[in-house]
Amino acid sequence: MAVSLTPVSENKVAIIGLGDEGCRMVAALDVPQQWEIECRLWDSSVESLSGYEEIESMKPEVLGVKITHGFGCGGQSDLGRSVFLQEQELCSDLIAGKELVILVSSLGGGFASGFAPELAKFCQTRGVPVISFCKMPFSFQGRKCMESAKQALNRLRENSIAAPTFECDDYLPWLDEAGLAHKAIEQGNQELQVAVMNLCFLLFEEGLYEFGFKTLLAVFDLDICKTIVFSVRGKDPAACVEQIKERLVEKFPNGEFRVDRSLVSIVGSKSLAVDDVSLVNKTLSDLVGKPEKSFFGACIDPGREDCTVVAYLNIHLGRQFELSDLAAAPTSEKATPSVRKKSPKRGKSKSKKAAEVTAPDDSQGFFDHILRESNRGYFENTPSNNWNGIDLDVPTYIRRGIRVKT
Amino acid sequence: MAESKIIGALEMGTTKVAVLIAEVIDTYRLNIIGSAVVPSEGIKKGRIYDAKKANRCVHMAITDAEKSAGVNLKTVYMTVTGSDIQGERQVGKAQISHMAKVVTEYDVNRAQEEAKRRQLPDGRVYVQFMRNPFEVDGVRVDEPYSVKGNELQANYWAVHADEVLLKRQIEIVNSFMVKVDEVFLAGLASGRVVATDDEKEKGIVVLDIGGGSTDYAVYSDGYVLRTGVIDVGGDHITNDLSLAFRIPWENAEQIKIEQAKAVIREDETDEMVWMRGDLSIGDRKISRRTIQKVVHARLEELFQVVKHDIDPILSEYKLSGSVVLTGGTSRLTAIEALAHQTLKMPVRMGRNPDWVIPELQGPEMSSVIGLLQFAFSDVSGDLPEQPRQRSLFSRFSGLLHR
Ligand SMILES: Nc1ncnc2c1ncn2[C@@H]1O[C@H](COP(=O)(O)OP(=O)(O)O)[C@@H](O)[C@H]1O
Ligand SMILES: [Mg+2]
Repeated sequence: MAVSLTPVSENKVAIIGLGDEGCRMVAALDVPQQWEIECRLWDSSVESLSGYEEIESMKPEVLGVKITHGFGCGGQSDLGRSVFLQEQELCSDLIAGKELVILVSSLGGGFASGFAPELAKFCQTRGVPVISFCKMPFSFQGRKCMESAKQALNRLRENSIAAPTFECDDYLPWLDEAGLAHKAIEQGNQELQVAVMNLCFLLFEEGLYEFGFKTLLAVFDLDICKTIVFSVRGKDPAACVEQIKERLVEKFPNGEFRVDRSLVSIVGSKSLAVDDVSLVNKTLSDLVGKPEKSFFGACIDPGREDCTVVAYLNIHLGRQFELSDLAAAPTSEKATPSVRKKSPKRGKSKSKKAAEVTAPDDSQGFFDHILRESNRGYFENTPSNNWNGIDLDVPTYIRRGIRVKT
Repeated sequence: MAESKIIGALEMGTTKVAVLIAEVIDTYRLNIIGSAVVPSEGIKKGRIYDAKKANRCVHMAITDAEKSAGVNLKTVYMTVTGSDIQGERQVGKAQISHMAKVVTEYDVNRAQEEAKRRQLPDGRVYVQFMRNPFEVDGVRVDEPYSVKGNELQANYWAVHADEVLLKRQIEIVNSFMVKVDEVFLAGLASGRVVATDDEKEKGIVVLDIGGGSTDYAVYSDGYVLRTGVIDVGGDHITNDLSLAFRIPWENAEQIKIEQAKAVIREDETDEMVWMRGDLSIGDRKISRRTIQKVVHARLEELFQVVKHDIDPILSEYKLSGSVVLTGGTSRLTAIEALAHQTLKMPVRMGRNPDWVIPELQGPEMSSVIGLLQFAFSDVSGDLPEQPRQRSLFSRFSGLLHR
């Protein structure tokens, strides 16, 4: 008798695109093989999933067929919740052996708004941490839509270690001449994608993962915090800094905010120096105050000419968060951030890399990076101790991802 | 009556400021008559970041030493360190002019002048020129005179520093009405006492691991082939421990000195050690393995950085010499074993000369003692170890009276 068992996937992290837009965003991610990540596309509508047949690895799947017959949830989040109840088995299969689940959804519709919070809770109660990347609707989509999105977001927050949000209203400057939202939506999607990729990058390339999520939790440990994520892209770090300033002024015209924690990741060309990292760090702390805790990841991609900065800022609200806290004040033109299509190649295995001091050079072919808590202890406020792109003042055990039990 | 002269040596280290005062009698006897060691302040990674504090401790060290010697210092020799000090190879070429195609003094002079002609970028000043072996038609020769060939090449290892930083350091000393005779690389000063002439012939790497920086010097055939400074030292170990265990600096320093080992034996891995805390943190038990992991990572990296820096010259000269460790951090238990593992060369601990009194015998004193020896050879007319450019002094006076 032959028994065939489907082996439990060995991947540690799952990224799940939920709903029409969630799937679209995840489908466009180019996740390198060696990152132990599994992507999934889930929706309740046959139609919106129909474009993804060729991405077999992401297993596009129509859920809740018995309830919605493949026609989607039609904006009713209650239906989304019912679909979840029907699909629990699928969910528990998926999270078996996972150490982190990343949900990507656009809230305000039916399926994702109903399904995502349930799934997050399901994972959380089984000890699998969840990070929920959410897109919030345009305010012109109406009160009902926004209300439902907010409700879903609040529930997601309760059940996730972080729920970074992207407000569509922030992308109003990208409306095209005819007033069509297409480009603005695309822009928002791209930023979200950059943020997701970046987080995965930090996890798998920068040793966040090795820290057993401690760092991640330290960054995102939010009770009444709101995580703001944005990414900017410019020809060099200085150009990025200008954009960061614009962005923050846009988001907080009154300047009333306090950043509790921040996680900033910079991907730059070969010329990226530790001082650039300090520049970005300093700009942020000048603008939003010195966070109680801040984390930095910087890496060099020898193949690129420009620089991308992704900042996760956790704003301490001290009161219940309201979406209106985020003012959208559309202004000037901006450079368009986009998802990094080229995945980093790693020429060497992780362990080997950790054991060697490597100097970045042309043949390197993999990212060289630093992860550091900006707290350099005794050497705080002294010039960076740059040796071939590494800040030697940062404890070696941190840079090499050596776990210490204390 | 014997003729005597007072000389002073000053090291502004990252951990301590050390001053030695000595008497040179009849140009051949050296007597240390006063000394002072004062904890440094306002200096991190070999660089002054708080001039006021640095001023205070340097002042204290100088006056203490003067008191113990019973004389006033008018001039001192001073060590310099910090990674802003950099070296580079400089070459000068001359076509051999003699009809018989043998090298003459004329060719040597031309090649040497050419080598030293290079202008430094703004804001940099030369500190030391170290002569390296000549080459005739690409072949290294010890003594170029009368060698046959077409082209003579003079080689130097030139060390230069940041003008502003150097000036700041000199100004501190000047403000006590003490003039700086000459500045000398800390690593080379240590090399003068911890490495023997024989070792310098055969090839040796001197590593002075201090508080905030590590100085290295590579010698072979009696020449200084390379020098360098890495801004990592014992302070980094302390800082790493303090961050890893989230304990105050003082506790971390104590753990480092009392408990840290660069490598540990199998049977020690499970050991726990008590950390005596103050009232706020209380006593705590921590595992020796964890301490060792943190310390090991830091020191291994330091040796890897050194290796990366010196490997090219070692292979160019096919050096198979040894390593000698000095500086306060060389006191760390089993550091020589780790140095040996990482650098893949025989390693020994440095020793100061016997004539130095026991109180000044520690490895952290090698550089200031070496500096004193250099000052001695300078005033007594002994040939300095390396032919150097003698115009340095005027250079520093020029720097200050601008
Ligand atoms: N027994 C010891 N074990 C380990 N480190 C030590 C020991 N004694 C002193 N040190 C360290 O040596 C360093 C000071 O070395 P030193 O050569 O005096 O530095 P500097 O020349 O930069 O002032 C300090 O970091 C100190 O903690
Ligand atoms: Mg020293």
